[in-house]
Amino acid sequence: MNFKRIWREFKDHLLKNISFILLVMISIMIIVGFNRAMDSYITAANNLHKDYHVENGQFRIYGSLTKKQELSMERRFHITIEENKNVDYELDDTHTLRIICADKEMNQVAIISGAPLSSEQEVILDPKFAAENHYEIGDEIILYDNTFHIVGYGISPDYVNTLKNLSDFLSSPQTFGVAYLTASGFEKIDNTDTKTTLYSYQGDSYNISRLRDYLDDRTQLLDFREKDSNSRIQAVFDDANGPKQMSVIIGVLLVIIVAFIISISIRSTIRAESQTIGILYAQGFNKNELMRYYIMLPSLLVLIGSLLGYGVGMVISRPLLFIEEAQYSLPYVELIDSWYLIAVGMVLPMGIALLITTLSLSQALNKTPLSLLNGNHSNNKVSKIEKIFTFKSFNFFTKFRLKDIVRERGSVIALLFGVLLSMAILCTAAYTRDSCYKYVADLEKNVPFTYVYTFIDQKDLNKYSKKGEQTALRNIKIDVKGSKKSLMIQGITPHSQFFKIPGIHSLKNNEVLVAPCLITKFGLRIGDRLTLIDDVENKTYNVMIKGISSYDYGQYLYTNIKTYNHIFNIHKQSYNALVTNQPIDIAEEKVSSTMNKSEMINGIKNLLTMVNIMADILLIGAVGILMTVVYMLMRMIIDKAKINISMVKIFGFTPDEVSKMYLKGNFVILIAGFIFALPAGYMITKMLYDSIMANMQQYILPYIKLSSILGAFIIMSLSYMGTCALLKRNLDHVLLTEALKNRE
Amino acid sequence: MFLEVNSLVKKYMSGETEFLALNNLSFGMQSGEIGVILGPSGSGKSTLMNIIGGLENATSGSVKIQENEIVGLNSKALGLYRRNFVGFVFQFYNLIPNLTIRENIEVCSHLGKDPLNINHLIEKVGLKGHEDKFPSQLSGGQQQRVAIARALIKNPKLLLCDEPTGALDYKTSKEVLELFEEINQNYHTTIIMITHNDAIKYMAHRIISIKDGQIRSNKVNEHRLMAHDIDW
Repeated sequence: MNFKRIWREFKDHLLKNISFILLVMISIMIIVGFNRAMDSYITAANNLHKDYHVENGQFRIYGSLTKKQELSMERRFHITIEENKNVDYELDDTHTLRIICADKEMNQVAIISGAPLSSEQEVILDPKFAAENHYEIGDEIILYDNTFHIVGYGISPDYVNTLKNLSDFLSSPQTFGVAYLTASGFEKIDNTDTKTTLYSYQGDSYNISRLRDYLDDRTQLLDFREKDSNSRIQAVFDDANGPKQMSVIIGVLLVIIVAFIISISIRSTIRAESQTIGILYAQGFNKNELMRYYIMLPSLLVLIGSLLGYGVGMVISRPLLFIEEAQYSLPYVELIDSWYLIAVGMVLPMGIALLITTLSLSQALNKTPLSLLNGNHSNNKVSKIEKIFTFKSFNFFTKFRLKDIVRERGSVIALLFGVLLSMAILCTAAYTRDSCYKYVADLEKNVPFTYVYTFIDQKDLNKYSKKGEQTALRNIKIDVKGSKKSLMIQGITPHSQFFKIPGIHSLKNNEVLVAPCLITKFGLRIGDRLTLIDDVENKTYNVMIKGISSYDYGQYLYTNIKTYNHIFNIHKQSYNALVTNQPIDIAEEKVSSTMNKSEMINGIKNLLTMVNIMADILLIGAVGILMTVVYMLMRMIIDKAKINISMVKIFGFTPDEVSKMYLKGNFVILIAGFIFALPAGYMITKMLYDSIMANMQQYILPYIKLSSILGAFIIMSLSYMGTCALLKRNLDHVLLTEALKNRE
Repeated sequence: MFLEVNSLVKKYMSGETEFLALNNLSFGMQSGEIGVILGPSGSGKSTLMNIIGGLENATSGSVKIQENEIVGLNSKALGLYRRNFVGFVFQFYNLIPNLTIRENIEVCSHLGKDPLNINHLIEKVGLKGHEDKFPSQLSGGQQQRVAIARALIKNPKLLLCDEPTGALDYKTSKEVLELFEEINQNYHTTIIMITHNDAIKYMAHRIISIKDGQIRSNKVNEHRLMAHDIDW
């Protein structure tokens, strides 16, 4: 009973023990790596919000508030109101810079590198736009004929997700960025005749609905948006929570597999060593002493795996930040260490290992020394389930393999679980990659316009109406399981040259068609009645889903203009937007939003690079988990069947026949795992998308190509075959004398 | 001569010490004989059976079965030899617990070129009615019958039995020995039994006694008894 024997046992089953350590390591690495990275990112975002005074919300009105009105509202609603001065400047045809006045109390600029603003000739750029367009600190940039020196890179909390329009899916730093100027610097360039004003507010959320009512009554309120529904502010949290949730699910499932393996492994060790235990018992060793000994190796393996997993998790947490950094801008993210990760990463696996080992050992060691010595414990009994499944109609070898699966059902369930998990990860990789690529392809193919301009003033729309086709667009919300979700409703003109949606013009009363993504994202169904909430007007409207639209580029409800008017009870002209194939020459301040097809596509194309890297990581992880789990569990099955394997070798079965009997049957588990993995991969991807895109006005439908399904299956089959080649060596190494050991 | 063993030597290394398990051992057996090899523990009888059965190779010497040399064959060729020529019966039956009696026997029916009829064999070994039972549902004697049927199903020319009655009581042992006798008569199978039980030698055609890896005596039994008549 000493470390030398444990070391010998470790060396005797070196590959098996290393695989076990590897599996524990992967589980803990996934949990610790992703959670530490995402927690740190969320904390950094929260710190930015706190330290740089993020707004609680914002509203845009036609015209502006007087100082007196501002003060009156601040007193009445116990809030602080501040004008959020900004102007969009077109550097050229494709590049727009939103210039923001940085001298303010809310949404202050956090310096990421360089120096803060100290004079009116200085400018701070957002780091992604600067990197994409090769602006460096010390360079000059000309804005409205004024030259500014770039003194640093920075970001304010309301532009962490640097979206041009709030309805945009993703940022596009190649074409859009933000720049911060001092108040006097901003004065120099702000010579535009702004018709609308954006305000930010901070204060008691209790008064917010009253504030909105107040603004609605006394101003021409164009938009009112609380922080939680502002994807420039909120998306970072949803986005970081997606990988965090996924990593916890994968990590916990792996820990369960580890627990299974410990339990199976302990039982087979006890079975194999029962006579030794019997002798030790007979010589006076007690249960606790034996327990201490047998608990040592699995505990050590789990401890080593946990420590390695924790260590590697800590190391990979910094590179894993790329998942967020690719999309968002934050000052330096300091990695934080949480107690719960130490608990989950080290204490929990050890706790589970000790519990499972103790339970398994306790049961095995309850036998009397005599029964252990006689080998009465040995697993010769046949369970009820084995008696039920006789597989009489199968040929002998198939029957042999199937019976073996039933007998080793504990290991087989763990194997199925492991195969399912690894394949689900692989399918998730394929789903995320394929759905993003399909989304881009569909956008290019299916978005029926090049530009959509939403006008603030009806007169401006009338002025430009000849340049395109008029349409009606309104941002509304629906209640989904107690949470308000933003979407757009569009009223389409008869004989539209742009929107060819079958059945749209036969919609009556309050009927609408729904974009397919809403069906998947919010679980809407044809025939559902929806209550549309207009936060700006503080009114509700009812619609009924009549069908599904042929377009799927955003969260849209479509109807014809007549029904649109009916829904919103509008008797006058309701068009407010213009759909065009060419850009129109209009001042930025005259439109509340512009949708640009190429910007939409560019935004999502940025995502593809990140998705590809993530899919590759998932692929490597899936193959690693599959090979480790298959190797470990099948090795245990082989170890358990050593005597039988030795016997069939003695009888004269060839190595190929032996591997056919003991290895090939498990391919059926691979197929079963794969069949379940496809829906599981869909569910994981959907969960990931639901989390990431919870507050975005876009949604990507999980999709997988047939070739990816085949590819995934081939990758898994090759990994399985590789593992089987290793296992075949184990089979070949089973000695003929194994079956003869118990003679004499 | 069916089996010819000449100058057989088997050495084992135990650390740096050399151990001579078989020391220049020679004997022969005719086809269809029952041979009993007697000897105390450590005398080398199991090593001898392992080499004749093709489970391990000799250090030197020769073992010929029907004039085919097996010493020096590689593991693949030894596997083929075991497959085509030899059936094994062990003291502990080593049946596959989750296979029924029929299936346990069936395991080996795929090995021989001319396997026996399984139903006929089951009846012959007295297991009719037990075909669908599992090994744990049978007595020790019945399990050994299954092991014997499993060894016989491929119709081997040589049946090697390692203490076949070692785990059985007196009555069951005699039943099993009677079965061997029947098999020998019905199928003309050459049988070699290694045993501690001195009484078994009376049913053998040839009695070989070994000690310290050498033949002490090799006699033809001219006063054979039927298994039923031997006693201990």
